[in-house]
Amino acid sequence: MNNYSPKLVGNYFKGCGDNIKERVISHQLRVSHKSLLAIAKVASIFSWIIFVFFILSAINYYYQAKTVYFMKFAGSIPTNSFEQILTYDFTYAIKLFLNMIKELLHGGFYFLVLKGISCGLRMIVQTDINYRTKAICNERESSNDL
Amino acid sequence: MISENAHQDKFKLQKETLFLIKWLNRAANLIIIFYIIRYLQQIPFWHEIILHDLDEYSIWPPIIWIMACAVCLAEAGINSILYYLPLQAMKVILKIFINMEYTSRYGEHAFLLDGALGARSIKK
Repeated sequence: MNNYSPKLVGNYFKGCGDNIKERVISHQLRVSHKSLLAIAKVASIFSWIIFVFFILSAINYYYQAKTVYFMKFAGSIPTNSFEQILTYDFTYAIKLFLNMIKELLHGGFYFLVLKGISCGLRMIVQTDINYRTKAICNERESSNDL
Repeated sequence: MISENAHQDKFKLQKETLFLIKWLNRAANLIIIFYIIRYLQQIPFWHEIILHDLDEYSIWPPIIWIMACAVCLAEAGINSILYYLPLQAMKVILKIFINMEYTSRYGEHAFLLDGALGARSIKK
């Protein structure tokens, strides 16, 4: 995201001449570009937040299942160790594991989609900048030829 | 004309996008496998339900198992498609964007000019 700060965009046009550089910067960092980059940044930050949230959610699922299990079978189970129960009740352990994986996969899904949105928007801005740069440099070359 | 820093920044974005494309594909496949396993594990549960519902009719037992499998596969299919399609769509969109970006930089022969991140990585 910071790659597109006016200072760095200015670096793209070193040697193009001040006039062209100013024109290009004023063209490129317009409101639409800025808003697209802002959305990309928000999506990128939010993707990490969601990823961490789903990891915590998966961990929480384990502790929730543990509590529910002890509440449900209070007094009827000989041990207090949930891990030991999981080794006995293999079907329940698989179910629990699959549900935890499901939470993680959902987190991964949202993370990838948001990261994709972020990258896609940055790509669009980059493509637009490239086309504009090319057009202005071509214009400059043709005016030099004349 | 393009400074070294700016050039590296461009490649950073390209690499990030290619990395994302690779993982979008992996995640899509992983989700299908996961849902198949998850719903295969539920076949006995569905078998019990169907058996209970169709108790009054005398149905050949393997038919009930087949029905349970069909229900589970349908569930797995619907759930995996819900996640698989957006991921694949995102992958294709990013591929198109990366192609567009290459073309915008080097013109129509983008693939020929940029070997490092070019055709091979994108075509995968």
